[in-house]
Amino acid sequence: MSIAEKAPDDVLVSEHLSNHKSTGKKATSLLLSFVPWSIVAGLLWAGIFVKPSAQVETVVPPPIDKRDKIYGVSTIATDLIWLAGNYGKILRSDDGGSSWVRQITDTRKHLQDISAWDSQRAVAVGNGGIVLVTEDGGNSWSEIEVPKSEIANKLIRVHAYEGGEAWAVGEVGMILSTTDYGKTWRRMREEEDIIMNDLIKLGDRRIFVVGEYGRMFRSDDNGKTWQDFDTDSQSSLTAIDFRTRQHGVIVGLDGVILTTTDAGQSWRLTESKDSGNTEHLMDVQWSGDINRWISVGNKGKWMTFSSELNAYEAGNLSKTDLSSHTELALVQGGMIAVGANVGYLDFKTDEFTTLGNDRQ
Amino acid sequence: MIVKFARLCVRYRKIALTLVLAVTAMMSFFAQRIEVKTVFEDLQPASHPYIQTHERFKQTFGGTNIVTFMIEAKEGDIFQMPVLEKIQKITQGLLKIDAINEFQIYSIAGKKLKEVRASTEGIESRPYMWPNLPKNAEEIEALKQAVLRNPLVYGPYVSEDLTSTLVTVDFFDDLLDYNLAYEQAYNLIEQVQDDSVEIRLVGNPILYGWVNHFLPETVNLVLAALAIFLLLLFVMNRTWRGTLLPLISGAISAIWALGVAKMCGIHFDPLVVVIAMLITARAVSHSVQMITRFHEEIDKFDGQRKVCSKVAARRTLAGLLRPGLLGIATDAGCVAVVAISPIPLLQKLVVLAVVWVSTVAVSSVILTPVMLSWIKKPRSYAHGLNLDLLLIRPFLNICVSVVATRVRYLVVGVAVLLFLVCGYYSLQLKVGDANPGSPILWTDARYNQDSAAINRQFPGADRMFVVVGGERSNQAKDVEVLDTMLRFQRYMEAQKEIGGTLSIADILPAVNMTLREGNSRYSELGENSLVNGELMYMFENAAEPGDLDRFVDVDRSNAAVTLFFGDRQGKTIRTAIARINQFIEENPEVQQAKIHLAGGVIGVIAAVNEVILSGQIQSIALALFILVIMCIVVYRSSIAGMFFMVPVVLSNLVTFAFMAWQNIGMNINTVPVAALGIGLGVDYALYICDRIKSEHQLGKSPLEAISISLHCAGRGVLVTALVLIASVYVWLFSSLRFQAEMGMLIGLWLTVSALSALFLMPALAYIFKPTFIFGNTQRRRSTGESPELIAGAMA
Repeated sequence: MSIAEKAPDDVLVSEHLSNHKSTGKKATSLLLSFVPWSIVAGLLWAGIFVKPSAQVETVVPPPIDKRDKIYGVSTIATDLIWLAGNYGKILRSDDGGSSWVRQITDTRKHLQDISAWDSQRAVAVGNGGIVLVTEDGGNSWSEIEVPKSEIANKLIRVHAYEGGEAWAVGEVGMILSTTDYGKTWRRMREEEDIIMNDLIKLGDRRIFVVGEYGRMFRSDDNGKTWQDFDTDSQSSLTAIDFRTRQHGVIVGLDGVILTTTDAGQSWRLTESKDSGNTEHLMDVQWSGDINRWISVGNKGKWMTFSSELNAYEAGNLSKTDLSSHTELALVQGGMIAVGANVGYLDFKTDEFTTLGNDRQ
Repeated sequence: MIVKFARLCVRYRKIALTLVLAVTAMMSFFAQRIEVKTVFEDLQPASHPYIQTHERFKQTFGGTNIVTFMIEAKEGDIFQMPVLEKIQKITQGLLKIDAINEFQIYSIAGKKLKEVRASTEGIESRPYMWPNLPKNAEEIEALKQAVLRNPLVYGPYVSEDLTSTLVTVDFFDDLLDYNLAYEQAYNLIEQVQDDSVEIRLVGNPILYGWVNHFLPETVNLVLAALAIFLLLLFVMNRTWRGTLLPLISGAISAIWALGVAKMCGIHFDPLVVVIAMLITARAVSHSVQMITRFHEEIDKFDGQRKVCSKVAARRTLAGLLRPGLLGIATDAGCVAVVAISPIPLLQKLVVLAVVWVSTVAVSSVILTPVMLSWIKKPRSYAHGLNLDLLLIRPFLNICVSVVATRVRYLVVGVAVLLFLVCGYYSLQLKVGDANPGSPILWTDARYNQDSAAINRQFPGADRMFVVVGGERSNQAKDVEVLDTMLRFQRYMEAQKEIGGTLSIADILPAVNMTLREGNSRYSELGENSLVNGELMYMFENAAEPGDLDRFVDVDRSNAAVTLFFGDRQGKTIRTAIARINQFIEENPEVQQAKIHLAGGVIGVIAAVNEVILSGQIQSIALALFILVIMCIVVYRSSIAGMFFMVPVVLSNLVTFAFMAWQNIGMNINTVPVAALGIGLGVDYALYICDRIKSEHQLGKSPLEAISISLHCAGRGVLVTALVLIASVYVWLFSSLRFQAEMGMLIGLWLTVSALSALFLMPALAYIFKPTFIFGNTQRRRSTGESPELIAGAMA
């Protein structure tokens, strides 16, 4: 240490300054004595009111959440796909399923099926007899009052036909139809304690309806009168399709397959040991592309069979994904299956890719 | 009065010593019986609403002691005979583990996980492979299909790639012994594990079992720290008394404290062993102050008078009783305020710590001088290496020079800078765990590796449950309530750290679908509460009584939603809680059936995290309050309070900043250390300032007084700091990451306290000349000595 320093004590303070200063000092020390208290008080205040903050990021869920169930699908042309599912969910894709737009509906009821007349007009049906229609491509969906039962009203499937006609079926033997793009609906058959699962209209007048316990109904006068058939199946029938006016297939629970070659006059039951599948089948369609019938069902099962019904093939869409599917729609080169998930099956590669579950 | 007391103590030194020894003997009887264990329940702030929910429902909806085994096939999937056999062996072996709740074993080889199927009479449920394993390849394939079909098993209990499965089990909390559970669980794994499988194990009992597993190592580290401590004391103090007396003080304090703790029924948590070190450090520090002062008093005897240890001891006691007791009282008071925390562990710790700190008054402040009075040759030394000359005095001279020159302003400047920088960093301190895995163990520890593996394969091993419902019975059957639960689950699952959720609302649609011939269009809740009640009834009928208990209570008024968390990080938990609250806010209809937060491990941690931050700040505030009060009582000045706040606040800020920088979260394990650290930082400064004050009163100039103080009290500070810091760093080699980090923290904290006592406090005292130290300085005149002379004279 080279530079000597004077301690402040060495400075003499003159008397008159001292008086003046001591008042100031008193004030300072008074002020200073408050400081510790204010520090304590400030900390106490902080202790009571400061909470660790949490940032709640807004998470945008994927269009099809893993908890979603999509029950119905409808396609127009190759790229436009409409989906309907639980809690009033309706999704539309205009690019073959690559991207999805969620459409706003006012209901939280589960929608079971959707069917489109064209790219603008469509109808969706579901639990509690809900019927929603759109005329603007799904930008707005409006609920339509339909005839209801006092017992149960779940509508299960709907099919749109040319000229604004559509048919819907559901619980308590419900068969509804419209001819004005869904604006008004008429009940086409009296109540009965049976669940109607699917329907098809062939030509101008003929209609087939399939339902619980292997039962089937046919009308040849556009729904005015109905004939009631018991098929050879004890299991419920879930879906029906025709590839020509003569050739049709019905599928059902426990892997039931019924076929007709005489325009539905008679139906032949295929034993599950022949088809190789006992799981529930929920939907069936004829694919002209691969010249085979295609069916999907529970636990990830899908099967195809030839028009002559002599070559059955049953398999799983994916080895580990055993999601059940309720409907299928044919698209370019493959099909879309909907249910516990939504996926595209490429007929060439047999590869199943799930759609719509990426976070956006 | 102080002088009288000191005289009494030394005159009746035999009685005093006998008394202390008698009490010590009695206390050691209790102390050696103290239980060393960790009790997770002790962490729960009982008054917090989450904990109340947790306590009410933990028996059925899942407690904090769930243990999870993961059996992982090394090649292929688990659906092969050798692996299935091991799953069964583990599941059956669980029954041999003590305190296990056999009704809470979930495994594909147990009877609680079941497949629900339709049958001719309605529905039936059957276990996957209980009591027997599949017999052939077809049955294995059937088992695999059954697993794949059930979303309540495939995903939560069997991983999506099918290579691993979980076996989870809960314990009866009141019967559970962590060590035993840990041992038995790992024994079970030992018996089963071979080349075909990897078995991983996590859960609170296992974690705390690991802590106990390292107890011998902890004891070794304590011994190593002790050895270093003794060696350094011996080297620096150069006398056996200077080595052994601090040791005796520390030991007596420890024995008394543990004895009292045992009498109060408090157990000793191995995780707080670092705190024990910290308090022992205080005992040692006081004792070293006594010894240093004793030597100084001995040195005062000139050649003519006979050197008398008794007189020196009496003067030592008289001189240091005030700062010693003030230091101890402040420490004890500041520690005591931590008891405002609602966490029982902290409250118990406070009792232990306050007793411990208070005993230092006897063991160090009184006993050390009393024992010193017996010293026969007070001027003899045990070895010739004089570090006082080589190291300590030169260093203390630097301290004096700093005060004497303008460098003192630099010191204050650095301190201010440190305040600002550390204050800023302290704000980044994370509340809750800062990393995935347990912060108690190192990342590469087996437990954390296992935990990471399980969280990779499964939705998450750590659970939180929220309770949806209210007082009205059958409320959990309402469609609105069930529907709200489903929406809530969907909402919560959007947070990516939440791997999945589970509730009765997930079960009922599956039952409904089964009743509707397996038609997946009916995979939905019943239309009304009647139907839902029926679905519950059907499920329970097909299963066993009690199978629904983990989802809904007996009168169906409350239902649980279990959330599976991939990690326990503070941020994850806070986000989840905030999202739950947001959901409640956005869904006012929830009011009918309230969502009650929150149980399970994560619920408890959430509650703890919510109270520790505010608790910590309040503790600091109250500790400073106590400090100010003490200063008013002793120095009749509240400015003194502010003066002594400086080292306390500084060491806390530095510690917090360090924690933030090292990514050490403020969690339930670190909070005791941080909390108790608040109060323990002040006594170094007290010794220094008190000495300055008394020297100044004897007529020395401020600088002289400071110099004398630094060379006497400062020597004690320096010696204890060096010795303690060196021994604390032994903890860096601990297998418990927590202990290593806390060792680092305490080392840092001791360093800051010591440095601020040696450099900052004298500088501040000299610059501001506070009245409580120097009286009214204007009336005094300088004695005219130059600072250099003083510094030189002391050297």
